Amino acid sequence: MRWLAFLLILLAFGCRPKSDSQRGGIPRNLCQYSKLLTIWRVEDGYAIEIQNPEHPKARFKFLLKKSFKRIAALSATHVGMMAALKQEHLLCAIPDKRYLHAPKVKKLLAKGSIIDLQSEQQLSVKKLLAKQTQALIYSGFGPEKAQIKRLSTLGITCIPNFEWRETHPLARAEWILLFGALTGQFEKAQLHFRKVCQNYMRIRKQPKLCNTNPNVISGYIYGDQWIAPAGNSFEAKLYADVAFAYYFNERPGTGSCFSSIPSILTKSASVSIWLNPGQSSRSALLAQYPKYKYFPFFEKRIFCYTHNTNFYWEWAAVRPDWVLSDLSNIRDNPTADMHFYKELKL
Amino acid sequence: MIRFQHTEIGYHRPLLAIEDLHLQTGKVYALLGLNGSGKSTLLKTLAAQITVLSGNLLINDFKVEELAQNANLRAQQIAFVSSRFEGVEHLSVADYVGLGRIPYASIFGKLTADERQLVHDTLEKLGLSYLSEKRTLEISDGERQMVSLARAFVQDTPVLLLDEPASFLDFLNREQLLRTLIPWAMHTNRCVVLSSHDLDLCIEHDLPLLLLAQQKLNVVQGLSKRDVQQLLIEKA
Amino acid sequence: MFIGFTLVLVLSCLVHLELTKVNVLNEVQANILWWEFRFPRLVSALVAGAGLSLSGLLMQNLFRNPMAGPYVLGINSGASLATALLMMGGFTFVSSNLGLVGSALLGAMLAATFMLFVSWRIQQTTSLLLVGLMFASFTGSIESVLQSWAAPEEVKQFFLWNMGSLQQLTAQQAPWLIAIFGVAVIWSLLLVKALNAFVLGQEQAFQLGVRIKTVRFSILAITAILAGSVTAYCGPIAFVGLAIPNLGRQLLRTQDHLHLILFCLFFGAFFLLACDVFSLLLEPYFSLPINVLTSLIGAPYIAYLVLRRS
Repeated sequence: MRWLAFLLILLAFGCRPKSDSQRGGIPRNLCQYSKLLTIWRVEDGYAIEIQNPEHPKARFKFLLKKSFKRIAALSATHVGMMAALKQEHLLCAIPDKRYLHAPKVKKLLAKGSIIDLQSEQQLSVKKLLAKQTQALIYSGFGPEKAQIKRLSTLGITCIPNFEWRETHPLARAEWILLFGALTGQFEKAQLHFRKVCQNYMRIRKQPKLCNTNPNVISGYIYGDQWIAPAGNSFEAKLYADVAFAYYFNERPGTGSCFSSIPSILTKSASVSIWLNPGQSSRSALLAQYPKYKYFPFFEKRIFCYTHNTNFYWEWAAVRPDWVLSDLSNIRDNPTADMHFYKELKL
Repeated sequence: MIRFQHTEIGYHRPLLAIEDLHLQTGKVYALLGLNGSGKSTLLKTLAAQITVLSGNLLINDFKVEELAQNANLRAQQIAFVSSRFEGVEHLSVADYVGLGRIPYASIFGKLTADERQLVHDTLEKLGLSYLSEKRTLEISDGERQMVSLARAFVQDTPVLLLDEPASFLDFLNREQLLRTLIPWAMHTNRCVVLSSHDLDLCIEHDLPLLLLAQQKLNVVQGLSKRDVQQLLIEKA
Repeated sequence: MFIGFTLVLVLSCLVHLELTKVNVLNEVQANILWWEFRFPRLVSALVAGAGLSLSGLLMQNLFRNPMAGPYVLGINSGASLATALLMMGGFTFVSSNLGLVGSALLGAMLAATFMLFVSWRIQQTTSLLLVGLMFASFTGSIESVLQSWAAPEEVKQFFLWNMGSLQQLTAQQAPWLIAIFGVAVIWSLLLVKALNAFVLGQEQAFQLGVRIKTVRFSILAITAILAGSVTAYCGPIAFVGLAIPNLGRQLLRTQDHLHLILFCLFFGAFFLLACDVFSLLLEPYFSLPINVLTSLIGAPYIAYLVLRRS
């Protein structure tokens, strides 16, 4: 009898929070696609959790109460996200002006209100402090780890951005929500992302003109190997969404995959499109690696994002619908004007 | 064999003038002089490493300038033993002695059977056969100096120069060196010049002395130690 | 013994060719694969291995120092700097092979001459190696400065070249490399007598009838030609030039440079080929740049030599 009463009490207490939350609603994760980024709206701001893809247990959590006014970005993608929200004026430092496209940022850079950090590997603490940096967004490649720790102790909120590790292009684009929260433009970011999603889905469902799916290879020779996005990467997902038969589809992995050069040479007779060779002309490709001329697909159609390379690095992540539309055009309508891509002249 | 004719010797500027002097074959000359008197400059001139400033220096009737130019001829006329041979890793004594045949060797430096026999015989005559297969790094200073002498003998030149060959040797080895050199010079008609600081040793063996003092070179023989010392100091 | 060496070398060539074999669809492709990939890779390994070892042997002879070598004495650094200037200094985009090889040769030659001057002033091994090290880090920093100015494309190009590779040689370049190598080998065989005399130091060599200046220039030129051309085509490859000649002296226990040259040619070629065979065997699992392999084997051996010496 006594333990029954105890159980009842326990139940009563145990149920209490549940009923509470039912009434108020569980704080809902505002991210749909991303596997690494979680954002909840809380009473006085946003709760943000970022999963480190390398260490399942390493989660970066923080509560954002007030948006930041001075943000340092360490990658071109971050600059693109800021530009998409038209919040360039909140930037105080950018990675390397040689890779910069954003015209507004260039102006601010010339005025001196934004500084050029030049290299991610050698973060200048002095420069960052001089610019009264409040938040720093980094891509988490690894080498900057020690510096990040130091900057954190100096009161700068350092936020990792693992957008490049996502496996779905829309998940990548969704990271704009993080930038929305940081800059106090969350609704605008949501609006932007919704537009991108709709556009992406529309292009994906477009009927394909060409009946047979073209064989497509991506990547280039790096050192003694061919390096390309692996079968589970977001690039592979993009290719799948325009019904390309991607050469490395069967290769596991969400990042890059490698292949020996002779194996590419001998097994690529059916490839009809080469994407992202990393050069803007065939002569530049040959200058880089003279043996490219022996690859069967060297004589086929080659496309690269060299319409404006820096623009691509800034905007490809935030506008996957544009990338998809380009790929769809490459497939069915190669003479159309494209956002990023350009065909290499024969 | 070695003839000076109004010869001015020096390194860029004159250090020593020799009017007329003839060094004969079959003899071992000891070159004596205080530090800085120009002993090594004279020896280097005799070795054709530096040429004379004016006048003539004939070595076996060849002008020293010609010997300086013609590498092979030089090596067939003059052999040179330096004060110390420190040994070379992995180089065997027999190979080292064999290097004395380089001036005569074919393009790859291979020794003929006769030359190998010569190396063998020379080592045997000097009582060094037991060293033949040893590495030059493994043997003693005294042994190395004797082996260097063997190499010079194998080079088979009319003139042999030794630059303070005794300075790293104990008295037993010094004795052995001279006891080898003197009969060799006499029996095979060579002209040997060695520079030295060991006056006692030179007098004891009654070597003709080349005294180098006050920019002059004098040949003396049979003087007492005190007289020689006097000559070296007085003129300085 | 050299018959044995030849057999081993031929055998490892066959193994190498077997490993680079790929199933092909047609004759044309088989031809391309042979002439552009398998054959140049084999040639690279053989010539780079033999050439670097030979240049190491000559350097060690000239400097009378077993720790000398094209890499430690900054010959590679000179070639590397010259290449960096060519690739990133905005002189020209690397389209002409002649430009690349020419500049690497010039750089190697200048570095060799510089180090020779230094070696006259500094007799001590350690100091000389320190100067070589400083020279290398000096050229390294100039390269970094160049990198910060250069266009990203050029930086990437240089970075890749700097990793060292046996697979960059093209079929057109292969005959050049072989010809340069052939000239250098014949030239050094003509020096055998002088090299043997140089073992005793330059004064003794002079008295043994060696034309010192001619030989000294020849050694520098051969070293620069070998290290320069190999570096130009294959990038800097470490430790081969240092380790193989030492191994030769240790195994043959001789200073006869005819034997040492032959050993360096055979064993140097074999060593780099074996390294490449190793990397081919590992290829399905992970890829190791050739430089990593040569250092993995070469560095401990050199450390052992140094320890044994002291």
